[in-house]
Amino acid sequence: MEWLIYLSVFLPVFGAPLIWLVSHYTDRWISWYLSLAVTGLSAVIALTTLVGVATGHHYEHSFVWFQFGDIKVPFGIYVDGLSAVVYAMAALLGFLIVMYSRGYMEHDESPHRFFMKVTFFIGSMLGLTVSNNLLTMFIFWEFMGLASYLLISYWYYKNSAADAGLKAFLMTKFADGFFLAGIVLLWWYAGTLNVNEINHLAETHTIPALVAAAAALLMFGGAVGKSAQFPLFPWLLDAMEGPTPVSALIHAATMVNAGVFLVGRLFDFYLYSKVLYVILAIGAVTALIAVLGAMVHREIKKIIAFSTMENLGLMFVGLGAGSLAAGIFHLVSHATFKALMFLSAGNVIHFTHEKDAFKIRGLIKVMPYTAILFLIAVLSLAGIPPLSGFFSKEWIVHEAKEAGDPIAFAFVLTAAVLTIYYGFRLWFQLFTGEPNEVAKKAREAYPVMLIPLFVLAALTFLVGIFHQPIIHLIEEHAHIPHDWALTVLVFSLMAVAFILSWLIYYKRAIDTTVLLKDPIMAMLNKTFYNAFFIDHLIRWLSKNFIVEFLAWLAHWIDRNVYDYIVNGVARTALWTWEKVRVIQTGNLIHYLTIFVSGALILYYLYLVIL
Amino acid sequence: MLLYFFILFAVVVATAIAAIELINFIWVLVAFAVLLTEIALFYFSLGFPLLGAFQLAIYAGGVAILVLFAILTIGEREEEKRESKLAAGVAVATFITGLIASIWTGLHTKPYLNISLGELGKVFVDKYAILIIPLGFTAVGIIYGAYYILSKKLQREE
Amino acid sequence: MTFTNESMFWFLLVAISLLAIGIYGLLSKKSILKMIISIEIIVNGANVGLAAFATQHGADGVILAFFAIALAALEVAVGLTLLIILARKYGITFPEKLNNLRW
Repeated sequence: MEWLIYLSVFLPVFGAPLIWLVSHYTDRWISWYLSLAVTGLSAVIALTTLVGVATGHHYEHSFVWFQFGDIKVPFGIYVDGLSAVVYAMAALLGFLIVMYSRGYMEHDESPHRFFMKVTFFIGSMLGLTVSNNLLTMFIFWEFMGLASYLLISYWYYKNSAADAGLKAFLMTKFADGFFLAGIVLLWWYAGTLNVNEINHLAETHTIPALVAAAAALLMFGGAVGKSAQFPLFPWLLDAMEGPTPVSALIHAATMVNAGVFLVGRLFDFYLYSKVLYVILAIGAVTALIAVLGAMVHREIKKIIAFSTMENLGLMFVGLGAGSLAAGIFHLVSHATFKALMFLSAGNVIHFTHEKDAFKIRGLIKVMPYTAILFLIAVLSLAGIPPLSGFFSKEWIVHEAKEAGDPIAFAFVLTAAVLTIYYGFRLWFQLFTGEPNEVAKKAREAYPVMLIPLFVLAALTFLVGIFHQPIIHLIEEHAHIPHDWALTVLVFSLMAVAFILSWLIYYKRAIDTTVLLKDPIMAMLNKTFYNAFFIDHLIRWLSKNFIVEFLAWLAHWIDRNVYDYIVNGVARTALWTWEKVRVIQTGNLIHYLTIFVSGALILYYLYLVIL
Repeated sequence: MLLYFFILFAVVVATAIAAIELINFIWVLVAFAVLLTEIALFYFSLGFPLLGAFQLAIYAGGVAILVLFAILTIGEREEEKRESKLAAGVAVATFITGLIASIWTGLHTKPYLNISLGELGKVFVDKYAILIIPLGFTAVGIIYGAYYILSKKLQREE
Repeated sequence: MTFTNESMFWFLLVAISLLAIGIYGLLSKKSILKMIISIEIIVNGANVGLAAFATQHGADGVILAFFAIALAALEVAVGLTLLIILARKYGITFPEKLNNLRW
């Protein structure tokens, strides 16, 4: 079984260039079949693994990758309930999204490039979920960063896409620096990188508390970058420049969950390190910022990106409140409904060629299936039973309440409640009313695009219905608490939010443009729209500190110190040549004399040194 | 025994200086040939008869005849005399250095090894036989190169 | 300080005398022929030294001397070729014109 898991990881990772090569010299669309076969195989292996894990096995294998001196660099896999769930989820979603891409990328000129990158990405994600030590995890983590960069700037001829890719790369790399520092710190003090051993050391209180806190915070810094948490989230919003399947796969369903998964994987260590409160706070702040941004944005994909960010924040709240199962179960349920939502939005964008939600009306008559699928996703996102979102989100709100911090709870409650507002805002805007010019040009999506969506919709229901076994897989004795008072509170608030949304965007009873004339409302709108100007702050900092100061300093040192030394060497050599060349007389006798004297001198030197 | 050695030594030094300092090339060649023969006698006294035979055959035979032919070609001309104090200084320095080193080494002389011809052959075959091949190629290359240069030169003159 | 008949010193003395004389000839003479002969004297000095050391350290020195003799003979062949060419063009003394190896 272990070798099958290795196969499911390395086949996509190393097969990706072959997919490109084969398709480049035959038919470019062959890449789709190849990619489908490879990811399908991985998905089958992953589901088999999940079944195996559910029946009580767990898989572990480890070998020494390379060694210098006494330092052995390990490489290995470990699959228990927690990783099996995420592993199977990522493999299945990857397979479905590769299938979907056949329709979405139909007019693309170089699909083999696309499928190479996507396959490479899926392999890296699977590798991350099954790795048993932090170094292996870091390798796949970086592979995913690379794949993300390549896919965001997939349409490299568009300036905005290239810039967005660069931004994502730089921001996540900045965070990865912290992650690497954390790994080194742990290796230094704990002497191991194996996640089980680290968790065990934490349980037995063997790691010094201060070191544990520092390492946990540093690694959480990496997770902040990868999972788009405050303050390193702007890259996720720009990442929407990539193709929609990519956004669905990487920037909603799988890669951004890597940070959550990292914290979950080392959860015992995090419990011991006492920094969970930081995670809770950052998650709550991110959720609030994101939900406010989602309420005021206009582009379909930007809204969904903000929604993703909010849900990632909620996952961290779940983990930060001390419940592993709440965070990871929300990861799974979010991955399914968010992929469904993104891909339905992809249908809309692909067939209307319009990104702005407010230029599309009445699509339900043109694309009924897409509308219903989108509605399922929105309902799940909002947390309506029996869809998956209900169980996971209620639980996280409950955990936030139990954590005992009123401010964080208020943030989380706001975020959880307002989800229904922006979800229905988007749905009403896109699908209800009379079809307008843009909508009339559209048509229903192809079966190849709809089948994955139906599977995802079914999964959304299934995860909701079978939530108990999944939670038991993640954490043995966890169960969803029943807090009726909280549920009633959340649902009454959600009803208010839904009615507001219904009034504004369905009945059109309230005109938002009138509201925006008020200067305070306009200012709030602008603040929310720009996500509290965090992006501007980062830009300002990097311009004033990095470009104007560090880069200037480096430039100055380069010009005046290094160049001086390099030129000085050349100048010294020239000067020496001028002075020394006169001994080259061209007279053979002189040369011989110098040669014999030199030999003698060398002999004496040899004697003296001995 | 030492007397015999000193006579040989005197002859060697004298012929060497004569080979350097004589003006007529024929006499230079004669002194040179005598020098090479005397050196063969040193080899015999050291206990290496084969090396002495080689010396006689190749040097005293081949090389001396080659030089003779060269002299016949270019003519037994006289040359201008030139004193060089620098050369004398370097030579004396070399000699003194070598003398000191020789005394130092000579003080630690062990009894001579008796290297029989059979042993010599065994060591040669074991260790150095493979060297003969590159040496052979080098020899062929050098001889052909010399022939080539000379023939080109002679052709151009015709 | 005494040296017996069997001492290596005497042979090394021969070797070093030949070396010194050869160097003196090489550095002071202008005739190409004499320079070649000087080189040969130096090589012979080295061979005597090798043979002398062979009495202490085994047969390798002698074999090296064999090789040295063979290569020296070849070297004389080339040297005399050059001698003939140069002598036809410039005369027997080493030509001052051959000074391309200068700055």
